[in-house]
Amino acid sequence: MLQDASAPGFHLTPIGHGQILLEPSPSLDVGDPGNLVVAILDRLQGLRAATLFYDLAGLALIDEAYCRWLEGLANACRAIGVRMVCVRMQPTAAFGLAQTQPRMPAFATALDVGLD
Amino acid sequence: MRNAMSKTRRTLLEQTKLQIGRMSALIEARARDVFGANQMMSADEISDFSVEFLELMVALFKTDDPLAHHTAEFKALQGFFGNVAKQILLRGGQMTDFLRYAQFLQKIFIEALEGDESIDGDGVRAILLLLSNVFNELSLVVFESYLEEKERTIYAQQEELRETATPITEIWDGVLTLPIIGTLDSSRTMLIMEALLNRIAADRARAVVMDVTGVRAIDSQVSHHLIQMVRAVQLMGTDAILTGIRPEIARALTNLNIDLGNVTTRASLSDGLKEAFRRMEIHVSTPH
Repeated sequence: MLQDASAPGFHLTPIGHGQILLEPSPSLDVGDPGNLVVAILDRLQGLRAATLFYDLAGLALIDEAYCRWLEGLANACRAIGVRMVCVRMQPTAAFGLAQTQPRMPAFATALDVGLD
Repeated sequence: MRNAMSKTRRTLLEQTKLQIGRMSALIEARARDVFGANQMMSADEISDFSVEFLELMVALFKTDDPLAHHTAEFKALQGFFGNVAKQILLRGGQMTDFLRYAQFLQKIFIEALEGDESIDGDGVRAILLLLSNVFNELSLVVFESYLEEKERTIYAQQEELRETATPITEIWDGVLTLPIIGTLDSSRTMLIMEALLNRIAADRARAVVMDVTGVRAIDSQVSHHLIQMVRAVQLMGTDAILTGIRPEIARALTNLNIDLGNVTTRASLSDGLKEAFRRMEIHVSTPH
């Protein structure tokens, strides 16, 4: 039986082979990342995750704060042996991020789940 | 003042109604000369134009103040004139021809008053003032139509240029190529980036080979744009492969301290494609 992998702000779905899909909801508050990271890592460990796919399809723009949140989560995932891959980044978000960030962010990206 | 205006418009209204047949014939004859000969307007269109124009002028003279631009009658006349001007311009007509024609239309109204001996000097002045105000406004409408049409043409040309400036080709399933030729300035980089990223999303491209063989010179700004483009592609989760960097460009990049550490580079477009195929585990073999 699957554990309840949802929490305010995100939903986790196991998609097989230790892969988990994280879908953020509009209520996700990246202004308080501490508790959020702990909640996500806790559930990832419970699900014996090896890879976390973070779905960015719903974000037309990614600002610096959101980028920092993604980098922080990717680092935290690395610490517990989970690889985080951001998928389905929108062209507008990539366009904006490429212009505002002086370097590639510290998280992996892929077009979609299974294409990393 | 109000009485003077009332008298002016009444005079114009009466004379127009009295001579509408003659005026219509003159308007049509001149339109045939100006627009009919080169197929800008058909005989039916000329006839309709004449009738509708005179009806709208009569409606305008019936209003309390024919110079008030906010009235439905004035707006209807402006709209009608604007539409006809656009139609003529779209068919390749000249704005100057249409403006001269508008002047002729004004002259028709002035000539219609020639036999009216009841009009004194003040009346003539008031009528001329009213007509010149109305026709000045109509000339402005023609000019606006001309500008709109020119802007539309320029926009269409820019769109065409944009498409030819970003010749993105899907050379294999999931593999895009983008040859960059000429100078990369900020606005062109934006255009290319926007087109490329949308294409990646639409085609679900796994690799993009960007060939800069056609880039003759590079400076700090251009190299910055190039790196931005590569980064945006990578952020989408697509492999970016940069090919065709000429020796002088490579030297310039080094002098500019541009770090290509995160960028896959290959000597030629062909090598770039091989690398893209290798990454996608596509095997291309030649028959022996």
